[in-house]
Amino acid sequence: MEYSIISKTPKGKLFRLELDYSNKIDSIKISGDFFIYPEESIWSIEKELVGVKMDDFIETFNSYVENNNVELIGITSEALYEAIKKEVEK
Amino acid sequence: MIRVIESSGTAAENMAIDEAIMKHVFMGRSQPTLRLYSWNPSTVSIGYFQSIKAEVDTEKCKELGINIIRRQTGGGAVFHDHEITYSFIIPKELIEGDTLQVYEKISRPIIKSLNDIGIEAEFAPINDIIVNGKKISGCAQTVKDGVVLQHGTILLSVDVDKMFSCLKVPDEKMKDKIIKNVKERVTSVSDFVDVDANLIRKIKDLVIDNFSKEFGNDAFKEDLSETEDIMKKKLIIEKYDTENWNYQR
Repeated sequence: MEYSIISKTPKGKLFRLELDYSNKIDSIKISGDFFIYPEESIWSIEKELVGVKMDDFIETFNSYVENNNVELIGITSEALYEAIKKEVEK
Repeated sequence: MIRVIESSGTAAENMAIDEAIMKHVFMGRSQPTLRLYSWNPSTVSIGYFQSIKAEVDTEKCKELGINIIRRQTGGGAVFHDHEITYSFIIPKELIEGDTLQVYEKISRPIIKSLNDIGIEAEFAPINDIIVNGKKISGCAQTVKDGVVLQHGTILLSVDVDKMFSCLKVPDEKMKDKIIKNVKERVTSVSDFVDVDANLIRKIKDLVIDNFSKEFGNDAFKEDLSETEDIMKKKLIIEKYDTENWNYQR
């Protein structure tokens, strides 16, 4: 099932998710006015999340970030997870 | 030494110039550079991570002759109209601190310049400069090959209604409320002093002087080098003027 989600992080940066999710992530696109360093990491993060179940979302996201020295400003895996969970459980 | 370049250009030119300078600073072929520039025509720039279709009314921009460009840097959508835009490019090794500290350090000369003309500006993390709680300047930063690019705006005046004729809002039903909210949260130099050509020149001279003092170097004015100019032209054609770049997300 496809979802379009808009939400804000506690620090006020907005993010949008285009998500195809059944019992796992089939595709995901994360956009918004946050910062990620290096910027190109976003593509790898999205690729890493394909095939992931919601229970593993935060760990998968955070593992990639830690293992690849990615810096996140204005966005967190937890904020993304909560926004997806809220929409998927409606 | 800090090289100072003043220019005006299209959206693609402005982005290509900064990338060409970054690459030349990385190669050791250019000095740290402060650029003060304007946009001709007016432009909507979006952050690297933004969805162009979600953020920009591309048809309206085309109708109004407004350029659209994706930046190398993250952050939000910006309508570049009546402002002074700056970019500062410097090797990371010359600025101590983490990302957030570097945002603050490079914002200092802008804040000082506004203070010098009687505007009580201050830094508001992550990347804003505010006056009495209202945003007068925003910026965004990237680091590539150990070279920092931070670019930002000093709003001289702002037409929020014109801005939102080009930008989309998350919820169309809330558009009036959102526009009202933005008007309450944004300010500009013209809210404090009369803006004319003399004042604009004064602000630019203060920014140059304050960057020189902040980063401990003298400033000299110089155009792009020949190789920077060649690289700029290549970047315009191969990157910044392409749908591959601008519509990638």
